Amino acid sequence: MNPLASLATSTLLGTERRAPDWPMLEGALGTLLSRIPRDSEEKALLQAAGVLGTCQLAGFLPAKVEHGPAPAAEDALPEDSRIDLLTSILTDGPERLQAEAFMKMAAAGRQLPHRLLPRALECGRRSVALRPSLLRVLGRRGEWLAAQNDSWAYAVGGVGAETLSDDVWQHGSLDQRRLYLVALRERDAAKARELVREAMGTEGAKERTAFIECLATGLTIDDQDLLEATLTDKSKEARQTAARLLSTLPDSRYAQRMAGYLSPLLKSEKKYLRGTTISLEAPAAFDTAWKADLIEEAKPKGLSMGERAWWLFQIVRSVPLSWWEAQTGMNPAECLAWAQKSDWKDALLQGWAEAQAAQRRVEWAEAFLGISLPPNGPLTVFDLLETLPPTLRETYFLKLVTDNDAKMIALSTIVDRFIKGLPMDAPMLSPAVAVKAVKILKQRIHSGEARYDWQLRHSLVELACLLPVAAFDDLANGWELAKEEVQPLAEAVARIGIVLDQRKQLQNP
Amino acid sequence: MLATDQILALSPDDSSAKAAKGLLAPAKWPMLGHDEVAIWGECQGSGSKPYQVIIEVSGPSFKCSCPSRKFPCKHGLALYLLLAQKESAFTANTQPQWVNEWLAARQERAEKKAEKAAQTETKPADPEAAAKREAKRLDRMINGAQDLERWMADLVKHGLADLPAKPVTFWRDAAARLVDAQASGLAAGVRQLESAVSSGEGWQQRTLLSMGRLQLLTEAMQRMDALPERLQHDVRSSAGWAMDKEEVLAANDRVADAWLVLGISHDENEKLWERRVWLRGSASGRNALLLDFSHGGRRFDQVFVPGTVVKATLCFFPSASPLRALWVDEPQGAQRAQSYAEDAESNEIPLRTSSVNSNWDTALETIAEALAGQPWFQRLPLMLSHAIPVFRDLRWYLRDAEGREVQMRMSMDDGWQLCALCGGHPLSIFGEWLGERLRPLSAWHGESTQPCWTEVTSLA
Repeated sequence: MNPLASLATSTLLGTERRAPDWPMLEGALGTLLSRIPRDSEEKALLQAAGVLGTCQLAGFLPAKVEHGPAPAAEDALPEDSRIDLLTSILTDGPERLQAEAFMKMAAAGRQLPHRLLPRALECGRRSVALRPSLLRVLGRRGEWLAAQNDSWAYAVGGVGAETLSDDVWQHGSLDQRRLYLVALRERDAAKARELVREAMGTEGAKERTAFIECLATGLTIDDQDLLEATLTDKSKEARQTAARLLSTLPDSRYAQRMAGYLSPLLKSEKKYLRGTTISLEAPAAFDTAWKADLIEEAKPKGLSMGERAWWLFQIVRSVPLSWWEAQTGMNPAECLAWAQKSDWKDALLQGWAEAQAAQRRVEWAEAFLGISLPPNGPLTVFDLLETLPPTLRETYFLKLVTDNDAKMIALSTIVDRFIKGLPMDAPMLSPAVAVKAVKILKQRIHSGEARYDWQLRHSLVELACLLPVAAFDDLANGWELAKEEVQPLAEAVARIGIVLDQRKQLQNP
Repeated sequence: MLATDQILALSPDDSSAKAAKGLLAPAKWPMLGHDEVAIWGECQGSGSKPYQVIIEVSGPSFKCSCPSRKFPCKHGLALYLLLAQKESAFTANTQPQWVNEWLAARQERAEKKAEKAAQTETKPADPEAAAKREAKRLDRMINGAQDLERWMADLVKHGLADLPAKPVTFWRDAAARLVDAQASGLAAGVRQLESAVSSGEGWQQRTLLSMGRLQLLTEAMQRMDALPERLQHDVRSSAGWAMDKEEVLAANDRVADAWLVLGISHDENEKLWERRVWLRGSASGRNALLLDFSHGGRRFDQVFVPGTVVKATLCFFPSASPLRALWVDEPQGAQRAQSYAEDAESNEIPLRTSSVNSNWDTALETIAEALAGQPWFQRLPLMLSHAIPVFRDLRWYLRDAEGREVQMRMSMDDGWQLCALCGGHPLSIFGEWLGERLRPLSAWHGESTQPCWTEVTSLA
C-alpha cells in the first residue's frame, strides 16, 4: 500500500480514537516529513497528506497492461469520401435512403468512412432490415470496431452469426431463440427440426407455438411427421399452427386428407353443348373423424354462415389451392368467378382467402386483386400485395391511388402499407408508374382530400426514397403551398427536397 | 470556411444543432449569398418577415434578427451548414445593405472598445486606496482559510469514516462560508472533497489527498510574504482571486507567436459555463490557456476552432509555472488562419509535434515539472504522440508505446468515434491531465495539421 493510502486508512476512525500511522520514508521525502511539527496531531496529519499527495500526483506512473488489442487490418476498399452527405443521411435520413446509400457505396467498391462507423452500427442495431446492406460497407475497420462493443455483435463474422451461438438457444429470450431457430433453419433445417422436436416435450405452450411457427422457414415434406404429431398437442394455438403449415404442403398426408373430405362434394357434369358444369355441395353431416384434423362441429356464436357452410369453410381453408386448379381445370381467376355464382359463395371465398394468406400464391393474389374483396375478411389488399414479387406490385399500387373512389382508405395508409411490404433492396418504381402516381397524389392533395391525413407528411418522404430520377421533379416541385389545405405539408415538401437532393448526389459516387 | 463537424461544434447545445438541421432546405431561404468576408441569408420563419442572418467568416461571428437567446441561433448554424453542404444555392454575391451596415457597425464598435480600453489604461489609479482594498480582501480570505483549516482538522479528528453519511447541506454550507469569504477557490476545493468522498473504491485516499492539498494552500495563504513573488500570485489565484486584465498586462510577460488551437473544453456548473482554450505557440513552444466564463449559455465572444492558428500577442498571468494567458488585443479576422497550410510563414515552424511525448514517462515529466512549480493545478495540457485508445471493462484507456495505460474521462459516443478513427493504430492525443486521468480533447493523425477528432460531449 502506498504511504498516502495507509495514512488514509488509519484516519478512518479519527485521530481522537486512534493515532494515525505516521509515514516513515527514506530520502528527501522522509526528511521533509520529519520536519513537520507534531504539536497538533490533526494539522500534522493534513500537512503530511498534502506533501504525500502532491508527490504522488507529480510522480504518477500508469500501470503496464500486458496485451493490447490487435489493431484493425488495412482497409481493402477505399473510404467513401462524401462525409457530409453520408452524415446527414445517417443522422436523420429515412431508413430506405440509408439502405440505398449503403448499396450504392457497395456497388461503387467503397466502404463507410471510419468516422461514420459508430453511427452506422447504431442504425443497424436498431433496424434489422438495414443490416444486410450495412454489412457490405463496414469494411475491415467496421468489423474490427463492432467486435469491441457487445451491442454491435450482429455485425461480427458475417450475416447473422450472433444469432447462431448455442448459448442463445439455451439461455436467450423467446425472441432471440426464435431468431436463432430461423437462422439455423436456413443453414441446417434438419438440426433445427430436431431442436424443435426436443423442445415440444419440455417447453410451455407459448414457446411450443412460436417454435412450430419457425418451421415455416424452409418448410418441406420432411417436417411432416413432427407437424402431424403436433396436431394432438395440448395447446390449441400450437395445433392450429401445425395444421396451417401442413396445409401449405400439397403432398402432406394432412392436405390430402382434407382434399379427400372435399372430393365427394365437388361434382363435374358434362352437359351437351354447354361444356362442363362444376358444382359444389356443402357436407350434409359432420363426420367425427374430422375432429382429429381440427375441424370443429359447433360454429362460433355470431357467425353469419350456416352450420354446413361453417364445416365447408374449415375444409376449404386447409386444402391446397393447387388442388382446385387440378380438379376443376380452371385458373385462379376462373375459380373466383365460379365461386361468386356458387350457393356456397361465402364459405368458398373466405376459405380461399385464408388459404391464400397461408399459402401466398402469386397467381391467386393477382386473381383476388381483380375482384372486390369481402370487407373485414382475413385478407386485405395489402396482404395480397405482399404475396406478389415487388416488381408486380406497383401496378396495383397505382390502381389503389387512382381508383380509391370510395376514399375509404387514407392516402397515407396506401403509401405506407405499399412501402412497408417492400424489401430494402426492392427496385425503384418504374418511371411511368411513378410519374403517374405522383401526379394523382398531388391532385388529390391539392383538392383538399388529404387535409386531415397527418401521417402523409411522413409517407411522402418515404415515397421519395422509391422514386426513379425521372419523377424527382414531379414530387419535389409544383406544390401549391399557399393553399391552406396544403400548408401543413410545407415541412414535408422541404424534407422531400432534401431527400431527393441527397439521392441525386448518391447517383454519382 | 469550416466543415460540417466544425460548424456543429459551435452549437450552444444539441437542440440548436438539431433545429438547424431542420432548416437545411434551400426552399426555406428566399435569399442566400456569400463573399470572402461574410455569409448572409434570409430565412423564412413563422412570421411574415424573414429573419436576416449574417456570419462574419473571420470570427466566425453570428448575427440574426430572430428573438432567440441561443447563440449562435439555429438560423446562423443552418446558414453556415447550408454553405458547407450546398454552396450552389448561394447565388447572391454583393452584400445587401443590411449586411453592409452590420459589418460596418461591428467594426466601429470594435474600434470604440479599443479606444476606451486605451483610455482606461492611462487613467491614473489611486494606488493607496487600491492597496487598502486589496489588504482588506486578503484579510477576509485568510479568515476563511483559517476557518477551513479548523473544519478539516475536525473532520480528521472524528474520522473519515463519518464522511460518506454527511448530508449534501454539510458540504454546501462549508462551501458557502468560503464564498462569503471571497475565497471561491477554496470553496471549489470543498466541492471537490465532496465528490472525492463519493468516488467509489479508494475514496479514502482521494479524500485525504484533496484535504492535504487544501491544507497546503491555506497555510501558504497565511505566510504569503515568505513565498517567492510568482508563487504568491499562484496562491492568490488558486484561492479564488484572479488578476485583473490590467494587472496581468502590467506584469508584461508577453509572447507574440502563431498560436495553434490544440483543444477546447466546456464545462457547466449551475448555469455558469467555463470554456478553456488550449494553445501552443509555434515558435515559442509555450502552452497557454485562455479561460472564459459565460452565464446562462455557452456563449463566448471569440470563437476558436481546433487546428486553426491565431497570430497575436498573449500576455501570461504571473505564475511560477505560467500557463493562463489573455490576448493583449483581441485578435481580428486577418490574424486568424484557418490552418497551418494556409499560413505560408509557419510552414517552416515545427508543428504541434515540436515536443514529442511518445510514452507516458516523458509526457508525465512535463506534468511533474509544472506541479513542482506550483502544486495546485487542477488540470494541465498534455500531448501523447503515440497513443492508442482502448476499450476494456466498459472503460476507456489510453495506451502508450510501452503498454502503459491511463484511464480516460470521455463519453461513450466520443470514445467510439475516436476508436473508429484510430482502428487500434497509434495517433496523437491532446487533452487535459486531471491528476490521474486524461480528458482527451483532440486527436491528430500522423503529421496532419488538422485534428481528426475533437471532444463533442463534456462529461460535467
